[in-house]
Amino acid sequence: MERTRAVITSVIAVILGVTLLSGPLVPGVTLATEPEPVALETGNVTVSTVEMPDEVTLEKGSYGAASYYLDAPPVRIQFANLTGRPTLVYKLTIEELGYSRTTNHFLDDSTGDTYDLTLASDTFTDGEIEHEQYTGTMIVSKRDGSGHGVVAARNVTISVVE
Amino acid sequence: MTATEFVGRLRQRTPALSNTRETAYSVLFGDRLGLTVFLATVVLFGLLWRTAFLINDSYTLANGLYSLSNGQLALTEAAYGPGLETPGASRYGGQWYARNYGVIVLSLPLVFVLDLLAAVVELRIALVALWSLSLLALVVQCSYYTDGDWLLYGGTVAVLGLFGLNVTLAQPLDAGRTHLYALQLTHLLIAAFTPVVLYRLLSRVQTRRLGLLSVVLLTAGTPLAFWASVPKRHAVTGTVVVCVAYCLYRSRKPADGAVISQRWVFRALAYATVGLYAWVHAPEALLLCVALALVDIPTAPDNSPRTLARIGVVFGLSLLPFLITNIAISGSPVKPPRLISRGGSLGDSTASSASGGGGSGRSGGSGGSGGSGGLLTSLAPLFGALESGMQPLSLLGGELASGLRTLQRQPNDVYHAFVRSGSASGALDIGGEESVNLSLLESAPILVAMVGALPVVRRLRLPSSMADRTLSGGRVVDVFAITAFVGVILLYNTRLPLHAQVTARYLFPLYPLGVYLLVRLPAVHKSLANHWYAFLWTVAGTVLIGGQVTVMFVALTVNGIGEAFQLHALLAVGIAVPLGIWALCGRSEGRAGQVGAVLLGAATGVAAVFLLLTSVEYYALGDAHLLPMMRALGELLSLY
Repeated sequence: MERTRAVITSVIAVILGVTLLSGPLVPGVTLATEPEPVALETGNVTVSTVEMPDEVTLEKGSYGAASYYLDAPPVRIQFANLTGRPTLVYKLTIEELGYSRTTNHFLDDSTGDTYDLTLASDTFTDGEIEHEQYTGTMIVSKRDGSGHGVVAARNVTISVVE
Repeated sequence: MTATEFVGRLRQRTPALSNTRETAYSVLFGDRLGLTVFLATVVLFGLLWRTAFLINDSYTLANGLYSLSNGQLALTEAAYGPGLETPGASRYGGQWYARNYGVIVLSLPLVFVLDLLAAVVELRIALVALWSLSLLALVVQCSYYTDGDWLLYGGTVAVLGLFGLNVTLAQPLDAGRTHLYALQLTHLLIAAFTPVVLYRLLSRVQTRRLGLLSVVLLTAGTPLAFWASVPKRHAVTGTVVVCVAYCLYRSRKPADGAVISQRWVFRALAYATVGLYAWVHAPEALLLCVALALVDIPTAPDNSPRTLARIGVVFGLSLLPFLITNIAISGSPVKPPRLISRGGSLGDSTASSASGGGGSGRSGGSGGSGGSGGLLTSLAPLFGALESGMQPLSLLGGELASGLRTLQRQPNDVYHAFVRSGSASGALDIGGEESVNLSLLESAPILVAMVGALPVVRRLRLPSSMADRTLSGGRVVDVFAITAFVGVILLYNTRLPLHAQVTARYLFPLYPLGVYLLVRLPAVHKSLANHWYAFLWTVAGTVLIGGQVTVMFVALTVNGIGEAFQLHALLAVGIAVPLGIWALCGRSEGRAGQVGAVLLGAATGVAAVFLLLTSVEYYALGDAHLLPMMRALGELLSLY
């Protein structure tokens, strides 16, 4: 009984002690820190190969959900060189729908030799989709220490899947 | 009662009152298991707590609390949100006012506590420490039920480990938003009493084991944990209905508690709970008051004028905060800043559609009851006061009637609101693109077991004469639960399905009421009691294994939140079908009982997986989790 009481008391003491440490009462100790802002678009990235998807689909929501979901497969990238923290941008534009979407990918040292560049999903209401097919433009660009530049671009057919 | 009797009674109670800690303990939690349930729920709610606004309506409450903490009843400044004109705010005499003043006032002390903490320590670490201490308390309570000290030692090591992990991952918490945190903490603590009181009720009506099992059904099988930390009325309503049910039960049993020695006090407490709730949300309080009076008065063993007068006085007193707030804001006791005609949105300023549970309360009657004819005549001089109380009543009657008509005229809407949401336009979000508003059944598939009432009703015998009108404790609560259940459905039927509901939140009281009712069904409680092991293992298995399979499915096949929600919805409906069939058969012997326990466990687990993924991933609200480890998990998990 004595021992359990001692254990509980010491755990409470540790928790309260650490909590007190975190405040201005003990200057010089910071327990909760904001993540450091990182300098983006630095370093250098050189892409050796780009595999862009052939087909993008607008699929009727699965599991009975309303709307159409844009499903753009990832672009597969192989790097020849990667230093610093460059950014890769995946952009899809569908002019007929007045639609454009970009997704930024922030790369760093932990990024491997190949990288799957994804595009965030989007929805279209049933009323917006009138045709069975649309034409879109797909652009991959980079932003690094040496500036902005287009890596690859192509036209792509977007088919509507009911 | 003579003076000597009164002093004698006080003397008798002195030992109980002198030990304040014991008394508070038994009043709040009942017994050690009640406290354990409370701590476990608080720990769970803390895990899912996100320090952000889920819903615009909460801005109104946060700004109301901000103004009140600066000594102003009217909204002075939009410290939170886009402006003062947020959903639920209303304008009187050129100034904006918040609503739900009951919880705003309750949160006031917490604002000062949090501000004080923020001045001395880092708020994030302080709240993490509070959570860790609750977990430690839970470990200590649980260790009383195990042989040996392994749970205690293992548990303390785990608590220290989790505390260390959270501190390592911690980022500062914005100390300028204490009004939001205070509101969330208040709602969370109130919500934690829903399972506690349900446990206390069912452990008396049935057994303690069934009380505990129903706590699992409620906290894991319904969206309680999702709404617990959201500053909205829903968590409060849930606690209010179970408190009313508990008081009603105790009022029909011999008083054996430490503090209350007379049965009428519990009856009065039931009305007082409703009266206090009017301070939070008057239209629902009115509905509950009518349901309570309709059930309580015709079935009570004692309806002497003296008892009714006492109850009326207590009810009137409980309405005072609500009436005073109304008078301070609008100048009229029955025109609250909250209108019944426009559910969750801004009310129009036509005073004729104002509603409230007030007016009739101070007349010394049973507060808007329809079942006390003799009382009405004795109140003839106060008829004027009663008349102003009749207006909200007739409005409520109109709402209920139109809810009934909806059943008949818009069966499709009713289907989408209660059974399957799917791609129905009413189930879409406000942008009209994502099907994220689930039906009642999809949110809590265990509720389908209530169809087990059909075989029971077929065998039910009605009382043979009016002499049998006095019902036992359990039966009174059953009738009250059914009345309130139907009342809530009719009250909101016309408006559903609707955006920003997520889990049919307007119908929130149906979750605790439904769990109570289904546990009362003989087939369900026999299966649970006989096969509780199978039930608990199925819940755990569904959450741990089924949860991972679901995560895989979501990651591989889902492109957006609407599809994810509908996948969970289909899983829920999928488990509800066999559970419903089992409940209709109404058998609990042997193999049938085992099947029932497993199905109930699976339905509970499916809802729990949805609950966890919603809090961690779908509605992570910018990864604003209070606990750094949950934030890290949310950041790690990226499913679509």
